[in-house]
Amino acid sequence: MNADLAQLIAVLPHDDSPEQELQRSIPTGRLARLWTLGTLQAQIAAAYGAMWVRSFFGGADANARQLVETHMATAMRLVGGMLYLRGAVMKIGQALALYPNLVPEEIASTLAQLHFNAPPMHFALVREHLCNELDRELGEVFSEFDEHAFAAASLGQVHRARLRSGERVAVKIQYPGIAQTIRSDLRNLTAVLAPLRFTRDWENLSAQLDGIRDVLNSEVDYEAEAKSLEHAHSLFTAGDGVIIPQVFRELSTPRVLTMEFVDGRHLDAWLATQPSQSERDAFGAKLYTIGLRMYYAGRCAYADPHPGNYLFRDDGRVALLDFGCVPRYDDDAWALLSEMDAAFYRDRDNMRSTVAKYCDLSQDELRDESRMALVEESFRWALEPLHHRPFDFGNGEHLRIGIDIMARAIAKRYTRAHPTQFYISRTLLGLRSLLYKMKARVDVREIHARELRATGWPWVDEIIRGGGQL
Amino acid sequence: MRVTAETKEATRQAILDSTLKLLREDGWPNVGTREIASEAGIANGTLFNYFPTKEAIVGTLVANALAEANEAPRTGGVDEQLFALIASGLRRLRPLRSFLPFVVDSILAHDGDRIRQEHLSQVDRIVERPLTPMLRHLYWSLYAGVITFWVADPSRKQEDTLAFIDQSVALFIDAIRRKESGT
Repeated sequence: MNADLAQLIAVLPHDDSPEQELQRSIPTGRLARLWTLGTLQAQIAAAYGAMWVRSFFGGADANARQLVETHMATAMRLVGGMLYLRGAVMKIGQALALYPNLVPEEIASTLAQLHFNAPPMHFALVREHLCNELDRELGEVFSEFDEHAFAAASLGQVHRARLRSGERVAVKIQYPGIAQTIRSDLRNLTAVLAPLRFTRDWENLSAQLDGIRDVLNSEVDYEAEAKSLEHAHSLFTAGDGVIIPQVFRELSTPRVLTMEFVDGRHLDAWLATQPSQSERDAFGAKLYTIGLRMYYAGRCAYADPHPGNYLFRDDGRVALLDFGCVPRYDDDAWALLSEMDAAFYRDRDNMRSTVAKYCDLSQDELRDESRMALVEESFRWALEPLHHRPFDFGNGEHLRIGIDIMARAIAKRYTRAHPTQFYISRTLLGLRSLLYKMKARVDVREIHARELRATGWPWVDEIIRGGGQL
Repeated sequence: MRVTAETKEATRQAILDSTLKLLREDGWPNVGTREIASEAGIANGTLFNYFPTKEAIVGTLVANALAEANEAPRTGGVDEQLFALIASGLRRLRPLRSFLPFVVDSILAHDGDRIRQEHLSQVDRIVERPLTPMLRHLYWSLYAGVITFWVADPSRKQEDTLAFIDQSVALFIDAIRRKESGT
């Protein structure tokens, strides 16, 4: 996995048309900017893809490997060129940016910026789209509306505004017609990747595509996001120091999400203020609380924990911005998940059978000791922070081990698991990467105990009454 | 008795208003020139002094709506102004949208001249440079494409049309740039 990324980028097909000298008074173009951005993202994603393929085909013969690499590069270039898929490419970029050990630092920081640089809709389009969506002229709703977006959402953009009633709001607007087009773009992508179908990693690749499709489908539905926001909002009280923006339902549609405007610094800007260790620790504890509160009390995951979604405020509170990816667990999934929790904390003897059920393992697979060893290793990793008070996430070793376990699981194709697993590992790894970047120390055990007690599960009380520790 | 210019204009307007009203109430297949004349309070033959066909009446309604849109003030870059020109035209046409599918082809073909000249003069004003005949032709094809797409756009609130306009404008501007840089 330590291939030289720059070298990889260099061997990949690149955009042959040099940047043209542009006439002055014609706007140099959304189109041009789109392509440039698409190209940069596509190259990075392609380089990542190539690295990934090499890790699979390390022992294979060079011709076979090159063929697969070429297919992958073509596919990634196609992804970069698809207007609507820039969101998916950004997702890949964001995921990469969270793994500092995998990617050279400068590329990681470029990637971390991408979600602020997506190409804009100009105001004429925004106004027309908003008028259609809200069935009103903008002036009837807003006393101020900033014509320039202040942030790019992966499938649209966000504008500051003020309501006639005085509240400051952030209006998130989706590029029109995107939902439908994503579906057909993904179909095209799958078709282009078809030559990979007979390779070992097809199953995994198509699982990745399904993941991207799920993410995109949930992100295009702003009504679902509004519901997630309201659900999360109900889970926190003032004492938690967590801000979940309030939704203005009457000004929200499937394509427009109007919510309370919240101020604060993004991760990089906050880190630039050189916060003290105690500030880092306090914010770290809040981020951990958010993750566990949403899990235990909300039965959902904040599954997109990339740095751009958090705001660090001078008053010590943390704000969460993006609720486009918040899967919720139904009763069946929740029953299984709570069984897992009980097995962790109470009856380790049942651990193996519970894991078998969760991962849908056959008897043969259960007898596969190397597989079970990796499964146990991954659970030990997940629980490790509970054994140190506080746990120092700033030590990169813990994160490195987590990534290594995941890489080995993917390499050995031990990736089959309950559908909830994709989001849970994403949430866990994402959160811990964030805490690593923050160099935070967190008393994970205390937060776990508090959030577990709030579930009211009988076994939790039993353990506490028996004088045991969670 | 001589018919004054004002009376003539009033009659013409009454025909246009009646046509719009009847078409919206009864739908394209159920409205003929006889019904329109009756609604406007004129003799059937009188109507033909003003318009030869039902299609011609609708063509005038369309041209008038688009002319109003041409007058709207515009700001921003070339792409933004072109977008606003096209989108505000569609906004004005919206009351006619349900019966435009029956006439859009004939309007763009026969009554297109006035609409075409007026619209392209707006485009000239926005891009602030003379366009080659080929670029004018390209623009008009894209514009006719937008209108044709819009009248049949099944998407929610015709949102796909907005994306279609956005990308058509980008394509047109890209064509100007290519032309000017000689590639």
